Amino acid sequence: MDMINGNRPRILKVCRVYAWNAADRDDLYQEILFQIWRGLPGLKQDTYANTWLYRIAINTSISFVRRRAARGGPAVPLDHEQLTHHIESSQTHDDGAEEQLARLYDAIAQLNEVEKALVTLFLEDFSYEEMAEVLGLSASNVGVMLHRAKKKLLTLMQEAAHE
Amino acid sequence: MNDEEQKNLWQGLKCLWQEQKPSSDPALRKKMAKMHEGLNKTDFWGSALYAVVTVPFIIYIFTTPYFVTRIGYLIIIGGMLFASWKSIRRRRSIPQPIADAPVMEWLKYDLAKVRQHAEDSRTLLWWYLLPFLIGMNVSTWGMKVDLLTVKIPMTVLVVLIAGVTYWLNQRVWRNQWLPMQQELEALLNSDQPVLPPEPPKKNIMTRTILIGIVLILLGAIVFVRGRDAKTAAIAYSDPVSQMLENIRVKHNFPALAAAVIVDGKIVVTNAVGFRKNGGTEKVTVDDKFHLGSVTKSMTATVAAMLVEQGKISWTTTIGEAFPELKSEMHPDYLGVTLEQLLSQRSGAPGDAPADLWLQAWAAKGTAAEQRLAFIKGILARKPEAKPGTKYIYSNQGYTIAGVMLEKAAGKTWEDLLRSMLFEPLGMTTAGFGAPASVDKVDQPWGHKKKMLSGREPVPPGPGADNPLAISPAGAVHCSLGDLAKYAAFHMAGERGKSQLLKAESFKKLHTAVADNDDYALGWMVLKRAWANGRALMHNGSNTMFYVVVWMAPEKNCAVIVASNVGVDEAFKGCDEVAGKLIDQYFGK
Repeated sequence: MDMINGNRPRILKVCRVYAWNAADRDDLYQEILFQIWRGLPGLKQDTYANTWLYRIAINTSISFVRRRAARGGPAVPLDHEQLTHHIESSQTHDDGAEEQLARLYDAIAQLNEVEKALVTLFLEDFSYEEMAEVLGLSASNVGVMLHRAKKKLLTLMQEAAHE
Repeated sequence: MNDEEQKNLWQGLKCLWQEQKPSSDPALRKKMAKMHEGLNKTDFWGSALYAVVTVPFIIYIFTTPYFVTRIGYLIIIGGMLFASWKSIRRRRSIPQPIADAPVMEWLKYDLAKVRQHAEDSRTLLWWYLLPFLIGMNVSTWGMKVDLLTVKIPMTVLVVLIAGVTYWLNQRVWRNQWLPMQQELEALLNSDQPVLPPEPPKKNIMTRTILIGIVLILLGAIVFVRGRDAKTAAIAYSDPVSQMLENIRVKHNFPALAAAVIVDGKIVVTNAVGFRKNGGTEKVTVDDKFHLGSVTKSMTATVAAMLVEQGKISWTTTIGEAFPELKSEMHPDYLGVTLEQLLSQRSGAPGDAPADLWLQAWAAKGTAAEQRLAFIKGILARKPEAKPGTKYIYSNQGYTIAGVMLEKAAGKTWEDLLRSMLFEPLGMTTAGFGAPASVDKVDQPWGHKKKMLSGREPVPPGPGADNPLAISPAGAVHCSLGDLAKYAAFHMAGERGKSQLLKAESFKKLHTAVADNDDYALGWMVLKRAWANGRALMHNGSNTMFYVVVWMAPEKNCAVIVASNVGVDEAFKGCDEVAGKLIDQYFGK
C-alpha cells in the first residue's frame, strides 16, 4: 500500500488523461488501485516498480475507456469548461499557467490511446527505454511514435491558442 | 511552450481530490471477492433465465400430441442450451488477467475480447436465432392447426421477432463492436506499416458449412418427397370422374370417391386414384372405405330398431342395463339414459383417459370382451360433466350405448349391425375394421400423414384402425354405393317408406336433442339453403380414412365423399367435391 500511496498523484494524472468526468475518474482510479493491489504479489523486483505501475495504470485505463464506450457513456470531454473545472492547479502557477495546462489536457484528449500513454510517460520524464518497456515496443519505435505524437500535440495546442 | 515547460507544468500539478478517496486493503479484497462472485452470479442468473424460458417448452414436449412439434421444441431447447453454454464460455474463456502486461500486449488482449464480442454479435443469426426460427416453425407446422389463422401468422410473427432481433443486433455490431475493433487494430498497427487485413478464412469456412447443411436439408426433403412419389394423374372420360381426379391430384389424395343420390336414387358412384400411395392398384367404385364416426348413426339406428322391438327403451339407464356393475360404477353414471348416450349428453369424457386408451390398444380377446372391459374403466371414473347438462362429443359414450344394445339383444354389436342393417339393406360390402386384407392391396389402404406432407400407407393389421373397444363409435367400412343405400334408407324412412323402422323413429334419430345445438342421434342437423332448410350431416375418420355424408331430406337427395387419408388432410378436398356435386345435381 505504501507503493500506492507514494504514486497516488501519478496514477491520478493518468486517470485525468483517460477519463473525463469526475465520476468516471473516480471509478477508474479505484479500478487501477485494485489492479495494482491484485498484481502486487507477482511483482518481483522493486526496480521495475515504476514501469510496472504505469503499465497497469495505462492498460486499465484503456480497457476502462472502451468498456464505458461500449455502454454508451461519453468517452471524450463534453466541453472545455467542464475540463478546466476538473483541474485543480497548484497555487504556484499563475492564471496563465492554468490556462496553458487546460489547453494541454484538451490537446492530449484528442490523441489516441497509445499516443496518450506516450505523452504521459514523456511528461513524467521517462526515458525511451523505460517507455519501450511500458509499451512493449522497441526504443527506436518509441522515438518515432513519440515524435509523431508530440508534433500532433503541438499542432493541436497551437490551433486551440489561435481560436 | 517547449518540452521542458510542459514537463514542469505537468509535474507541478497537484491533485486535490485524491485525498477524498483513500483506498484500503479490505475494500480492495471485497472488490476482488465481488468480481469472482459477480462472474459466478452472472453465470448463475444467465443459466437460470434460460432454464425458466426452457421450462414451458419441456412441458410442451410432454403434452403435445404431435411428434414433429415435439422435435421443434427439442430444437428450441437445444438452441437455448447452446446459447447459454456459449455465453458462459465467452465470459470465462478470456478471464481478466492482471493488467501488468506491456501496453501493446494488453491492447491485443483487449482486441481479442472485442473481436469475440463482435463475432458473437455478428453471427447471432446462426448460433442463436436459427435454432429458434427452425424450432418454432417446425413445432408450429407440426401441429394440426389451421393454416391461415395459426400456422402462417405464427411463422410471420416468429420471423418478425427474429428479424427485429437480428437487425438490432447488427446495428450494435456495426455501430459499436466493429468501430471498436477497427480502432484497436489501428492502435496496434500504429507502430508498423499497415498490413492488409487478414483474409476472412473462418468466415468462408462457416459459410461453406452452413451452405452445406442447407443443401443437405434440401436434398433430404427432395429425397423424402421423391420417395413419396405422388400417384400419377389419370385421364377419365366422364366429367364427374375427371372433376374428382383433378381435386385428388390437387390435394395429393391416393384415392377419392363420391356418390350422389337424387330423388332417393343413386345416380353417381365414382372412385378415382389408387388404393395405396405409390402403388399401381386403382380404386374401383366397389372399393370399401372406412366410415369412422358415420358408424355412430348405424349404432343409433339399431338402437331405434331395438326400441321398437321393445328390447330396450330410450330411457333405459346404464344402472338398469348393468345392475351387476353398479358397485364398480361412478354413481353419476347410474341414471344416464340410452338417449343421452346417443345424443352426446351423457357426460362421458370426450377423450378416453390415457391409461384406458393404452390398455385398449393392447387388449386381447373378442371385440365384445374388449368393449366391456373398456366401458368398465370409463364408468368407474367421474364423468367429464354432470350427465344431461352438456354436449360432449364422445366415442366413449357411443361405446357404452353399443354395449347396452349388445346386452339387451343378446348379440354382439357386429351381429346386430349385420342382421338388422347390412343384410336387409343389401350392403354386401359392409364390414368392420380396415377394409383391406393383411398383406394385400385388395382394398384401399388408409394413409397417415408423414413428416414432409407425405402420405404414408398403413398396412392392414394392428394399428390400421382404432382399438376394437370403441367400434360402436366408428369401425364400419363399406363401398360408397352401399353407404348411399344407407343414406337413401334414412331419407326414405323419414317419409314412412321403410319396412325396418317407423317414420317417427327416423324423426327421432334426425331431430336435434333439446339443448343440443345441432346434434341428433348420430346425425348433425344443420340449415342449408341447397337443402331447402334442414340438412343432415355426419363425417368420420379413423385418422387414416375420411368420409362425409350430406343429406337433404326435404329434397330426398344426398352426397357422399370419401378418401383414404385422415380428416385433417382430407377435409378441404372432400368439402370441395361435396360442394361441386351438390351444385351440379340438386343444389340449385
